[in-house]
This record gives sequence, structure tokens and C-alpha cells, in this order.
Amino acid sequence: MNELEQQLVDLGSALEIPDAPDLVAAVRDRLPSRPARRRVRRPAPRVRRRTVVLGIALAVLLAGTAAAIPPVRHAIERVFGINGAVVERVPALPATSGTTLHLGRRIPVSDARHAASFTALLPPSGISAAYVANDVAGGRISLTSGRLLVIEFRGTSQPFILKMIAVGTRVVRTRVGGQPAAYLEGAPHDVVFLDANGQPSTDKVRLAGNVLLWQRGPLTLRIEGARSLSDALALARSLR
Amino acid sequence: MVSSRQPTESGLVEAAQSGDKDAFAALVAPHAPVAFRAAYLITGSAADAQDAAQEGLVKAWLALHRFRADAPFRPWLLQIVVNEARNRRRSAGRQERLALRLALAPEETAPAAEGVALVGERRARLMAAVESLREDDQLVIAARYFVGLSEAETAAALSLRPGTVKSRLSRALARLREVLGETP
Repeated sequence: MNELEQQLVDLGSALEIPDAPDLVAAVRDRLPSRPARRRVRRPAPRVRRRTVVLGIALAVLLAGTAAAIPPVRHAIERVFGINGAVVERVPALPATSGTTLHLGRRIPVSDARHAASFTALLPPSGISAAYVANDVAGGRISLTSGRLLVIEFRGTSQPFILKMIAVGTRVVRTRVGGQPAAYLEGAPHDVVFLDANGQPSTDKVRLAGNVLLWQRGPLTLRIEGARSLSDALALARSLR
Repeated sequence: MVSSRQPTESGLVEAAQSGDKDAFAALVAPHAPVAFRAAYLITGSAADAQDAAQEGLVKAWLALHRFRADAPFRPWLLQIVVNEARNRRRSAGRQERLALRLALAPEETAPAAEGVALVGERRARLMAAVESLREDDQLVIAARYFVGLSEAETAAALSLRPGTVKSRLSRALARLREVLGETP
């Protein structure tokens, strides 16, 4: 090592760097009970029912289509996590199909709160339309508010969000009502989540663009179509 | 039965891959301080560095099945933590420049005030020179000399080819000499 390199080492020793906290103890308690399993060669891509990480999953933003449960499981085996969120990056996402939103049956806004098996959260004002659908266990409530779309359904009570995003999608971690939330910018997604029965289900993101995804109690909520994180958060935090 | 023999790193990896959290804790514990140091140099915030390092460790746990037990573990772990720290820095909208700050030198580290001042001045000049480097050069300098990684580890941690690390180090050192020579 030459003199300049020695000086750099000396500089490194003189930098103000706090002592490392006890990272391991903090992380030890946060680890899911089982790590992703080591990949086992299988004769066919069929995936067993007892999938490795589903126990921790709430929702996955998925690169596949609505019928792509096996790829989801395959992907979940490869996930890596951030706090409650687990992100899987993929080379490319397929284009979202069509413009039909498939929000379900339109209902009076005044009925929206109790139209599903759960009590939906509503913004204090500004709802232009409400819909209910039964293609998700427990039902799904969708609300349009300006150019934003709020979707609510009952998920598991596990405080984990799994999401799959494309390279180039920016993930911003934030909080809504004190709960961890993920804001994804830059690519369309499908959503896969564990429904009220603990089974993986898919749900397409209706509006291309940005998605805010979070959990409140037993509900999974997301807001689509926000121009910015602050727009999405303003609506999210107004839900009661 | 408790064995008095220290488990090997590959043994800990295999145990952790089977779901043994204690083995994972023992595996990462020796590397956690350097992971935090690397994260701090990138994020410039103790809180962000702690978050990045912790999340990197969780990611490592979840991705452990992809790790080959016979490969060196530290570079692989550092790569995850460094990526996490860089992502956080980008997400915060900050440029990927090192967050360097000199600690106050305790008086007993130099025999006299004049010596302390000279050492401090030399370090400050060198730090300013490092800060003038390109961002990617700063990172290899930091990994190699401030975190103390080998060239191979630096390559792994920064997801670079070993040859790229060599060339960047060479370029960065040459640039530092140039800057220091120009600065009285």
C-alpha cells in the first residue's frame, strides 16, 4: 500500500461514523419463521400447494397476469424483503390489458361503507362513484375520487406487503396512519394478495401509473392514479 | 448436546438455509458493523444506515437460498446492504455522494496542538479531494479504504467486475494526487 493509500486508510479511521447499533438482535426478531427455501430442481414448473413464503404475504404487485398464480409462487420463493415489504424486481412487466376497469356493480355512494363484508373506509367528500364486486372473498369496494381510484378488500392480518415491480419502478416507503405503506411509481402492476381465506388471488391495477398500497387492520387498501405521493397520501389519510 | 467447536461459515450458511435463525445471527454478526459503516458512508444518516443495514440483513435471510455455501459470505451480504443504502439515498432524491465528516481528534492522539492541527489539515485536504472525485470513484475509494474491503470484496459489494474496481481505483488515486498536488 503506497503513502496515499495509507493516508486514505488514516482518513477512514478519522471519519465521524457512529458506532454500529446491535443490528443482529433487532433483525433476529423480525425474520420470518422460514427463509425462502433453497431452489429444488423439479421435473415440471408445477408448484406445491404449501408454498414457502405465503405465510407472510399480504399482497404482491405482480408481473404476470391475473391467471399467473404459479409464477407468483415461483417469484415469492425468490423474494427479498424490506421491513414489512418484500420486493421482487423483474426485467419487464407486461402491458396492462384493456381499459375496462371491472370494478363491479355500481352502488350508491351512501351504501359504500357497508356494501361488503367489512366496513369500508371513505374520504369525507369527493367520491364520484362507488362499486362493489364479489370476485374477492369478502368483497371489494372501489371508489372513484376525481382521477384517483381507491380499492379496498379484506386481506390477511399479516403485516407484510409483498410486491413485484419492474426494473425502473421506484419504490418509496412511507406510512399511512402509522402503518407501513409502499408507493410505486413508473410501471403498471397487477396485485396478488392473500384473501380472507388465506388463498392467493390476483387483482389488476386498473389505472396505469402510480400505486399507493398499505394495510389498515384487516383491510388492504390501495390508491391508483395519483400524480404524486403527496396526492395519494392526502387521500389515504383522509379515509375514515 | 453443545459442541465446543466453532461452526464454520459454510456450516452456519447451511444451517441458516435450513431455517436456523440463530445460525443466521451468528453468521451475520461479525459483518454487521462493517455493513453499518458502509451504509452510513452512503446515506450520511445513522438512522438511514441502521434501516438499510437491518433491511439488508432481512433481505439476506430471505435470499439465502440463492447463496452458495462455499462462496465468501461477507461480500454477498455487503452487496445487499450497499444496494439498500444506495436505493435509500436515491429514493430520498439525494445524489450518490459520500457523506464524509471528520471526527474531532481527541487531544491525546497527537503530542501537541500543532501536531493535531497538521494532521487535521492533511485529513481535511484529502477529504476534500475525495469529495471532488466522480461519484463512482468515491464509492470504490470508500469501500476499499474507509470500509476496509479487499478489491475482490469491493467488486462484489458494488456489483462491479474486479477489473473495473482496479481501473477505478487507479483513476481515483491518480486524480487525488493531481488534486492534492494542485492544492497547497
